[in-house]
Amino acid sequence: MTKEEAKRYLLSKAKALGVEAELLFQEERELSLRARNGALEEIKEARQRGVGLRVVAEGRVGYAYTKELSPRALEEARENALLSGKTGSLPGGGPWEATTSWARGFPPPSRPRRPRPWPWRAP
Amino acid sequence: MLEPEAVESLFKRALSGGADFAEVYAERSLRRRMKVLSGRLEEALSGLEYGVGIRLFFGTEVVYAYTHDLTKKGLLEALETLLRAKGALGRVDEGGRGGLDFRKRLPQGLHAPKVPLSQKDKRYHLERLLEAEAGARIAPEIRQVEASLLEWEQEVLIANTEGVWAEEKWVRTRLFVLAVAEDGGEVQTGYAGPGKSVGLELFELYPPRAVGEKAARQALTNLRARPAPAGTFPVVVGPGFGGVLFHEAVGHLLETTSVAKKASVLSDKLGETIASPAVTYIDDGTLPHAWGSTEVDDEGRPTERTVLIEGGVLKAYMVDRLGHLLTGYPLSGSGRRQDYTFAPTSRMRNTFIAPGRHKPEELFQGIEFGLYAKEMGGGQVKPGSGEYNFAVQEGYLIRKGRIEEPVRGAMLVGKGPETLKKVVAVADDWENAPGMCGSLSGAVPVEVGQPQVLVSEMVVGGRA
Repeated sequence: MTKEEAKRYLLSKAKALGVEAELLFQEERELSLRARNGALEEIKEARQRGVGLRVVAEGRVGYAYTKELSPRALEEARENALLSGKTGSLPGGGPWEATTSWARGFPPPSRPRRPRPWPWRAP
Repeated sequence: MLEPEAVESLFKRALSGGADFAEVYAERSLRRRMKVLSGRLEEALSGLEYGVGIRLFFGTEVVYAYTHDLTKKGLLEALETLLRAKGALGRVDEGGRGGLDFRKRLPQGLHAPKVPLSQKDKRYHLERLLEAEAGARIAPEIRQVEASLLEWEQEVLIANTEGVWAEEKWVRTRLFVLAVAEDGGEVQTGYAGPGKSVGLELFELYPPRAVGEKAARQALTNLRARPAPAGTFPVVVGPGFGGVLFHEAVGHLLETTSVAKKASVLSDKLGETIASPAVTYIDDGTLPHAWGSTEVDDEGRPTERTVLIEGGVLKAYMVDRLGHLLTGYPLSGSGRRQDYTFAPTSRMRNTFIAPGRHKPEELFQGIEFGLYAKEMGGGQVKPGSGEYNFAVQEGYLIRKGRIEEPVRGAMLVGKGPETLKKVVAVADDWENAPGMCGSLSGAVPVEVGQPQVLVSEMVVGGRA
């Protein structure tokens, strides 16, 4: 999906679902190399895209993120909104903080994740 | 998720480009997290992901790429980048190998959920969390309760140039409760976090109210606990999550990821006695519905039950494909990764000390003074050597063979391979507990476990 496709598709589906929606489109490329004792162990090359969704349904806010162009993520975000007691609205115009909020507690899929060798932790 | 024809083109190009082996790992997943704090929904989030990882071997050199583009064109583009990165474009060997014949392996549903996550609406899930929270409100000292529900559905397809074509859907559900107790400025916490490869039947296996209560009881116990004594004495490590100590301080030393590089002190020791005869240590990826179980590993190979240590003797390592190439040890279905953004490495699945012959109470008999580490907390381990320190989350003193008052702040310090030799008795009350294990190929769900285990002496760091 391109940014334009994501925008058109998701906003029209949002309208059909009767929710207001805000999209954060993110695209990333990564190249990493790992060597040990002078020998190359791993080369990794990556491309990723995804969309963070914030929707308002019946005056309440819900979140989801998705990599696929399907109404499923919008439905998830809508259900999340309706469960929540939190009322809210979409902010007027300004960009949504472009940090990790679109994934809220999940590792953002397109972010290079440093392995956490130790310690063991329950989530 | 992928067309066999597209995969076949990809593999042909990879082999003609000089690779000795190629693998694809396609994945589609749904992850949900819901959290309740103080009687209201604090967070609800859903994430839908998909992507494919491509791994090539040139001898024992590995290159890896991942992309969100699952079309034939997308796959081939990612592949070309890899071939360029490897600088292997000169070695074209077109037509040298014939067509591929995939041996399709269909899942048998050994760990399939009985109650799919989608069977009940989200309100039902939220109500179970509220129940867990209510279950923790057993005393006025319980000041805060956080209850979380994690739900994962992951569909994978793994294929390689040796004809493997495996598909499986993994569903996992976990409930996690954190209780905070406070009294006169003293603050203590308690946890409970059951998780299984199941759907919503988790709530029947572990009634939410009881899970909440367990977390709260632990917090209250710690509130009235005295500072732990320091010294060297016998320790009985509790069942279930107590196994985290051996997971970290022994299990990681038996993965070919470190064994192949001779980075582990347990390298090259097959057939040698490395533990007390009381210790049989098993890594089993086949336990029905266990948190770390799957039918195939992340390299498409059927998982198995691997006896690592039997009666104190080292019998096997945990071996992934690269580890097999480097060491010659047989593959054990231990190649694992967090998701398609990681190349797999050898990892644990459900690792535990097998039950012994003793009744739990027999372990305590004859202990003049010692520590009962009923529940373990977090810890740190030095990779390779197994030097560790672990916090005891719930501990009690043992006096004259009896479990007496609770103590807090105890820290167990030692070296895994040395502790293995000091395990003098193992009880028959085996249980496992779930957790997330982080390593080179990301965070993967695993179980750790053991029955109650008596260690003849351990260094205990404490405050009294």
